[in-house]
Amino acid sequence: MRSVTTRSVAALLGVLFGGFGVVQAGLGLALFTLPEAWAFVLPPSLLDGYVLAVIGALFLTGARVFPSDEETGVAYTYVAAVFACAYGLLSLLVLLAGAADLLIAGGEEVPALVESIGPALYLAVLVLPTYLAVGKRFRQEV
Amino acid sequence: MTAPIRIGLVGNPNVGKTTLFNALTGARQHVGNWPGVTVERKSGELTHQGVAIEVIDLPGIYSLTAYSVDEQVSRDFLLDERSDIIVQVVDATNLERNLYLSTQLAELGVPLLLAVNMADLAEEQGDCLDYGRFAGLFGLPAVRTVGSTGEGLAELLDEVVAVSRAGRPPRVPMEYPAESEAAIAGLVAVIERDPALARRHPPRWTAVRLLEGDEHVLASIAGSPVAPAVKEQLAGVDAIENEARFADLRYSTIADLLPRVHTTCARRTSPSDLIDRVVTDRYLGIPIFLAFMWGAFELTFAASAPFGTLIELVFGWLGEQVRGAIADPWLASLVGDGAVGGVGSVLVFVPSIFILLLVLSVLEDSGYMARAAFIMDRLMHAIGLPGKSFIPMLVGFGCNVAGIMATRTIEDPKDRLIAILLNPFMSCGARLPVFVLFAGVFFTAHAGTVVFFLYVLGIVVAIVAAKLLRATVLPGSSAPFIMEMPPYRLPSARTTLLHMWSRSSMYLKKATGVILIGSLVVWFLASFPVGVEYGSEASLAGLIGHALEPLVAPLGFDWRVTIALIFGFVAKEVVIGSLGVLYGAGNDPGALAGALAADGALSAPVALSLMVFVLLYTPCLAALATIRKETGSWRWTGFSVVFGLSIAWVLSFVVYRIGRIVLGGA
Repeated sequence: MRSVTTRSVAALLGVLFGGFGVVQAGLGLALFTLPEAWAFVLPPSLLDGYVLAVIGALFLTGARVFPSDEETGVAYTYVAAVFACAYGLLSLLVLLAGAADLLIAGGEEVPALVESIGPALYLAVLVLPTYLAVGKRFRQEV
Repeated sequence: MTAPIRIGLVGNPNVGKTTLFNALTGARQHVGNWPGVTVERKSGELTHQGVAIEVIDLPGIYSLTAYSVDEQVSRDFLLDERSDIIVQVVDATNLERNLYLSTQLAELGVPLLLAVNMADLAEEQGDCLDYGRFAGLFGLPAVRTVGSTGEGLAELLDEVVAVSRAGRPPRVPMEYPAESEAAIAGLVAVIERDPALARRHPPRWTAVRLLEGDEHVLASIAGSPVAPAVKEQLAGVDAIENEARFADLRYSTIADLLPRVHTTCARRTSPSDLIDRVVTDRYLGIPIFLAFMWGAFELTFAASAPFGTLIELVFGWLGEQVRGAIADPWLASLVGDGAVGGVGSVLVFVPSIFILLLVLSVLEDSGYMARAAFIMDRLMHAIGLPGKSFIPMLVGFGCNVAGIMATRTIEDPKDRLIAILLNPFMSCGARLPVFVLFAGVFFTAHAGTVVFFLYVLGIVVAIVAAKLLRATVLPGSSAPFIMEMPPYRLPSARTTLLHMWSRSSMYLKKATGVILIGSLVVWFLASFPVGVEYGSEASLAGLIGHALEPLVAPLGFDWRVTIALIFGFVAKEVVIGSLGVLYGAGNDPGALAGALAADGALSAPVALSLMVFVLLYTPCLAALATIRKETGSWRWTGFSVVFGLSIAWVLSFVVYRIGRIVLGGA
């Protein structure tokens, strides 16, 4: 991936993660509300939102330092991508564990299960190509 | 028959000594990717080429001058017990600093062998080593090893047998300045006049250490008839100046010789360095650490749920079998309500403990926890503690006993005492079941968040308590923090699982030991005097609970909770077992949650108050025994109990009162 592309992608992902994180944390703190249909896209959660905001800050820092120090810019973008993928994987595990629990204990709490498909999960899917491309670049840098 | 060989395994901290020890002996000692994991000596045995070999794994040391308790353990072994051969494990990625210890060990006159460990990492970063030239240049045979994969172990053992059979002491080509050599010769002549003293250690080594002002060696010659003559020789010697001069000499000898065995083929920035720029970021370092911790708790709660449900179902089935098999109602109650109910209600939470400790093990083994200590250093200094004390606090999240032991790496006695007194505020794994139960019942949707904030509260209380102790009973300033950052490593599944198992298996052992006994005692108290309703207020448990209730009533606790908290002094898991028995939840652990939810005396504020109390009061008897052992003082042990209880009472009271206003309820 070329430097200008990496920087642009890092900036875009930073805005996405940061934006989703701030909104999710705000919903968790009940600072504002969204229509009920949005609950499946952005379930309120202070700490999940916090983690997304931290990932967003890492991407944005990567984009910011890129022009002056490309090596460090790649490092920030790579760590942010790893963090995003790991947190997405964690969200998937939470979802699967919830499903397994329902299966063992019985019950019909499917809506609660669907609510756990938060932005951490679908944003991680979005980050995956960046992780692969920046990972290659990171290994080249070192 | 060939005489057995005794190996002393030494080296700088975090060079992989315990990994090598485990690989050599098949032991399962705890290894971690940070300095100071081993604080006690460990022994293991093996046979190679028909020779019985005993391996002693020692805590890491940078030199023979010991500052902390763990360093003293190594030094005492090397100087006073000795071994047939010393195997010094050196970090191949940092040879210059590691070989400093070699120059000191070489003077001890014991056969010495270098295990150049983590050679794969050195090669990855472009270092090339000529192992064959070590013996010629340094007088030290060297073997390439990779402890994590077992590479080079057979060759290492071959060399151990060969070098110890030859019995040749190493010969590092190091000459002190003429003036120092004259002083050494003078002291050697005096020392040799006392054969016992001369036999204890090589006279030349003793002379060098005396010139460097080594207090341990000075103390060891105090009873010798030549002590006055030695003191006379040392009159006017500037020991500090000598120590600095000799250190320079050792480093310059290493610097002269090292390029002949070590070349940098292609130096590259290491991935660890680049990742460190991010995770130790001045502004983002702490937020990243908190995000990691939150991820750990979220995973713990979610992933343990299906396993907990499964155990619950199994114990439900077991209870039915017990009820059906035992005709006598007393015996059925003893086995069903007391034993199966008490133990079962604790075992349900074992998956949570296992998963939390697994996640913490992964973070430790990857090398991240050393960075966590580094980024917390500024905060720790602000409260008057060295950053080093953050590691025992992190270890305390697994088990306070291990956390208190881990304070041995802290050199300053006051810093160490404060770190010991704070460790019980770190929420150990045994407290997790109490949190999981009460948060699950009273804060269903936000259980994970509540537990996360309890862990954070433990850290905050520790910080405030440290400040308080510094301002009152233990004034002073903290020592500067110097810590080596280990390289990041992909944790091996075997090491991580072993690490997790070594920490968490104790909960399983406790379930069949102290928890079973505790549950039976509570069953007895809940069943007698004869004729009373089981677990009623007229039972012995009810009478004791009511007698003590006024002390904890302001915190919202009733007599049942009071009894459970008293038994919690033994071990925190007994709190759940006791409640299971007292609520008559019998052999269905899930029934306890239902009984707690249905109890009108309990509410969300009471649950919060109870969780805060459990978080902050004395962790368990084992932790108290360790505090007594490590401080050597009953006074500080007693202080720890009173300190914890006082803080727990005050904070629970505040939380309960505020909780009633915000959340409502009883």
